Amino acid sequence: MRAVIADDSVLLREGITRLLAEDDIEVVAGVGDAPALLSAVETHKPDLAVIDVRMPPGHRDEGLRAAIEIRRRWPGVALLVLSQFVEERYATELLAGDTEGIGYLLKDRVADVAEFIEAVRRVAGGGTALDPEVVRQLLARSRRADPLARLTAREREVLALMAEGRSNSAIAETLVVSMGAVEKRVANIFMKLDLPPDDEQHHRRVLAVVRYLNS
Amino acid sequence: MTIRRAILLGPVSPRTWRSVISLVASLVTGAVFFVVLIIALLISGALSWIVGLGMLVLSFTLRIAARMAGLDRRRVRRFAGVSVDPAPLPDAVPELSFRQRQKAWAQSPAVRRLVFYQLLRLPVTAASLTALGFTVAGVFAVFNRGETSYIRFALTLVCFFGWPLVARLGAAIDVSLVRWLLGTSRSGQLSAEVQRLGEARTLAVESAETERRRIERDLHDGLQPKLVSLALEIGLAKARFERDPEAAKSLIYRAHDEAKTAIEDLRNLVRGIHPSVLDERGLDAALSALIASCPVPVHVEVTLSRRPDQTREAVAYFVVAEAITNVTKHSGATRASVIINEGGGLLRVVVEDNGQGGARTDPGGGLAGLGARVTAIDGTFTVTSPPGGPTFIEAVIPCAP
Repeated sequence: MRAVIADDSVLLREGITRLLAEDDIEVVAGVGDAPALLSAVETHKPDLAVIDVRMPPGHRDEGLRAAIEIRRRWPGVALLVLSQFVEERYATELLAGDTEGIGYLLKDRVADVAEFIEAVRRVAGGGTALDPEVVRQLLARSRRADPLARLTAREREVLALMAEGRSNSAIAETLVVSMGAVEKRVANIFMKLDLPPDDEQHHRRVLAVVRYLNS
Repeated sequence: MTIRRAILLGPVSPRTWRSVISLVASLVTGAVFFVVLIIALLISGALSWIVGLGMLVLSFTLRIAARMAGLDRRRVRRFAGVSVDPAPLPDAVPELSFRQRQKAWAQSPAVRRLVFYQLLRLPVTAASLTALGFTVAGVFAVFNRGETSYIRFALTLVCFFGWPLVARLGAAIDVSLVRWLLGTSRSGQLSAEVQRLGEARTLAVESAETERRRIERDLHDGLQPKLVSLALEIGLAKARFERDPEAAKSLIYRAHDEAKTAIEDLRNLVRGIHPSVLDERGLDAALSALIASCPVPVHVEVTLSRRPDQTREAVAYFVVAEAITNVTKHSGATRASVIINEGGGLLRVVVEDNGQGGARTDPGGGLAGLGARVTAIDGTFTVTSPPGGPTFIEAVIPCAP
């Protein structure tokens, strides 16, 4: 697999390069700003772009805008957006088109190497990885407070993990319960929230949940 | 057309009669004050051998003049529909002695002006009423004994339609005297404004200093020890690496956890200084992370047709941030709401909870600092939090349309 990294901190760029190399992901270019990122993607046509939100020259949301631009121009490139802070609004903008092969995580998450690599693999494979913090914000801001209140504590946990982009087997592993138990809870959630029945395609499931929370 | 109409209807117009009543009332009040003044002069003249009595009488007279000024302002509002803001009188400063207070009172320009009004208006209203009396008498010229002439008839006609004008003119002179001498003078208004701005500036500088100290404390007491301890754990692990790899391993595990906590602390600290999403996407977007960190469900409603400027937006954001901190830490509430809207050139931020109340704006505290920031941009900041609750925090910030 080939990746491009965009982060204005050389230290972090090198760190992430090493981390990806551990898992045989080749970093074909490391750049420090948005225009350089766009041209690197154009030149290398990578499988994955790892992008920091805040980059020169404005140090604002250049990375996010670049990610949206890349999705528009090269839809085959998976996007993993990293940031010092995660914002529900940025997640919504990033997921506005589709959720296939999109990740949005706190930068801190690189510290948990195995989990980070797992998220990278998930995103590169067309899945979704949303930071638990973003999911928490989505839940807190949702206008659907009443239907959400009907969920049990366990169902809320399952919903949050689903929104993060995890598969049923990953949820079962995280919560230390059986696959069957997770499937049952997922079915309950879809019923209680009046969502169309669970789609086995995980990215579509994330889309359904996020759209539900946002509307 | 309207002027002719006003003249023709003058004798029956309510405004004319209101002017007459106002003038008569003014004459009566003026006469009463004149009598008070004469009595005061007599007392202090006759009993001048009692030390300090003169001053006592003087201050008593001044206070009566001040009371009467209040009556006069009310009279003008009632009869002429003109409201006059009272000029600020010297504050009663408890630290000053009785003598100093009387002196401050007697030397205040506002007090001097209102005494001057009391003295001036008696001759002025007397003159107006005399003129009115002559005009009214002139109405009856034609009925006087003797030969009826055209001149007499004309005089009656002129006086009949003229007396309302005389009454209104007299009342108008009185109103302008009240405005001039009993209202706030331009320089008085300006000096009050300068004082208010000076206070607001001091508070703003102080709150910025408090904020810097808070950041320093957070870095020094929170983050720095964590980083030192982290370096220590790794140092220990390094030292034990050869002879006790198991112990080194557990130290590294612990250091890893500590490093992650330190990063999280730093993230929260930086976000608390200024969230960048506020500049990029505005208030509504910035509030998401804030309320997600609150253990209590928060209902948010932001209705703004356009974004306020960055300064006002930031003050509004921090009002919510501090109020939410308060909800989290002290309120014991089970739900809260944040309502932000605009109207009439004002940005209004209201945070309410159903907790136990008791939020206070202690000097140096978070809420007091916020109050200073809101005041510095000409806003008002209100905290209503009776013991037992609920708490209501409101900031109203002027925003140029």
